[in-house]
Amino acid sequence: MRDETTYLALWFEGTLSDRELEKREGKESLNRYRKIKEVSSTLVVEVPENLKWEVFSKQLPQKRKPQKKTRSWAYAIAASFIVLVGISSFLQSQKVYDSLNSFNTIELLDGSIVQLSPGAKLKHQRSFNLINRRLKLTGEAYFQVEKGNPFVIDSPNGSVEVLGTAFKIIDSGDFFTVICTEGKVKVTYREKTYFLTKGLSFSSISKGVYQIDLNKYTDLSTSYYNKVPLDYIVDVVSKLYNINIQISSLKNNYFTGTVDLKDQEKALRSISLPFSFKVVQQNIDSFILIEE
Amino acid sequence: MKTVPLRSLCDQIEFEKVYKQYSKELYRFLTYSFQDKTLSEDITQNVFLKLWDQCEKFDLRNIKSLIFTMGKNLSLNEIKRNQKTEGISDQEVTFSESPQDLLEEKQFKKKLTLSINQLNEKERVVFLMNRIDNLTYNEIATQLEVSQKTVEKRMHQALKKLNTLLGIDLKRKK
Repeated sequence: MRDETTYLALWFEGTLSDRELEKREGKESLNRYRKIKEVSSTLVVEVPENLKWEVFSKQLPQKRKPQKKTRSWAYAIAASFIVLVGISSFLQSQKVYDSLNSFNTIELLDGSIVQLSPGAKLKHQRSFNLINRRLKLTGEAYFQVEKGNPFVIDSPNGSVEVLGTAFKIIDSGDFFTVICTEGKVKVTYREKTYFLTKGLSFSSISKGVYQIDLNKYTDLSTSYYNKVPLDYIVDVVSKLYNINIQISSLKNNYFTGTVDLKDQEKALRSISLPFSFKVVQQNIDSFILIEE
Repeated sequence: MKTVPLRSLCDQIEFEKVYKQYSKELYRFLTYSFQDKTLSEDITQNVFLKLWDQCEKFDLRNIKSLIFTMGKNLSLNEIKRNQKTEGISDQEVTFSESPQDLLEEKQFKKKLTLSINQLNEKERVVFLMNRIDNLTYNEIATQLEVSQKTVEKRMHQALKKLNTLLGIDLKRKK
């Protein structure tokens, strides 16, 4: 026997036969249900004129200023002058991407893809890709650059120039590292240049180029770091999980390992175990890592 | 490391796409609940204005559920402020008319509309989401955040009531 509380719904979607419904409800009701089903399929709700995009979009505060149409020549000349000034000031204005407390993936105008880590900030001129491809970065970002004109990233500690490749940069405080996962990149640090190819990394700590294991960078649910200041990792983890982490240790520690991006407990464990720190929870969103 | 390109809601073209895709559905959904044209229109506009205003905060991947949650929350505020909205019947739901409709057909449609208005909110929402938006019980369940069984029960109740209401009416006529 089918469920007494749902059989009409089941008949309606066709999983209960007319015969069965007739047995339960009688011929008259069956006919009426059929009629309800048939007629209700022509039900409509008219959407008001005001909700049409053309009407509604006028209410939207403009994020860019529209250009006004003018008629007379004098106005046209004046207007084109204003437009020119407008375009050049538009091109000189900057676009800023801020990644406050999550990993954000953005697509740049040239099709290049950038994943920003918590706390990272990326800026470029509006003219990006029209004249050149130049960006400013602070923090950590992973780039997949489309082939094209030289692509240059300036960060406080150094600069990276590429043609079309994939790599990661971390620039935080004095620390600066570049990891090349594909193609070739040119790194400039303190007026010296270093060339990195796939699987090579530059770090401001060793001031040199060394080999890395790329396989460790492929798991999307974790983020792998190789000899990165612990302070920086703690900053990323606290932003990512929106928690407060303090370390009671005077040493300058460097972290090597993976940080879990989905599980707060695992992430805390991974940044405390290697240094044999004890994690003490102070309240719901505050932790202290104490040297044992 | 693989990355997925993420489109931004702050881009007017993306915003327009999202608006065109979901505004009508949201508006209809709100009318099913409140049967109030003006209120549903206001809430729909407010949801999208808020979305535009804070576009950088939202992720396009779960934008639909976000839009409906915002719609529900704004409605709750509105209803608290304006208790009388409940029960106002503006006859929002109509039928697409066809010239071939016989008088009898027209009368049945009119009675059905009246009967639908007499359903309780939960039953009406489920019934109309199925009939107008052509959503399956499963899809309705996801959107309302209830189980499929609950949706089936509400649909069953709705049909039972409609049958009774229409039945009484027909008997009276005889």
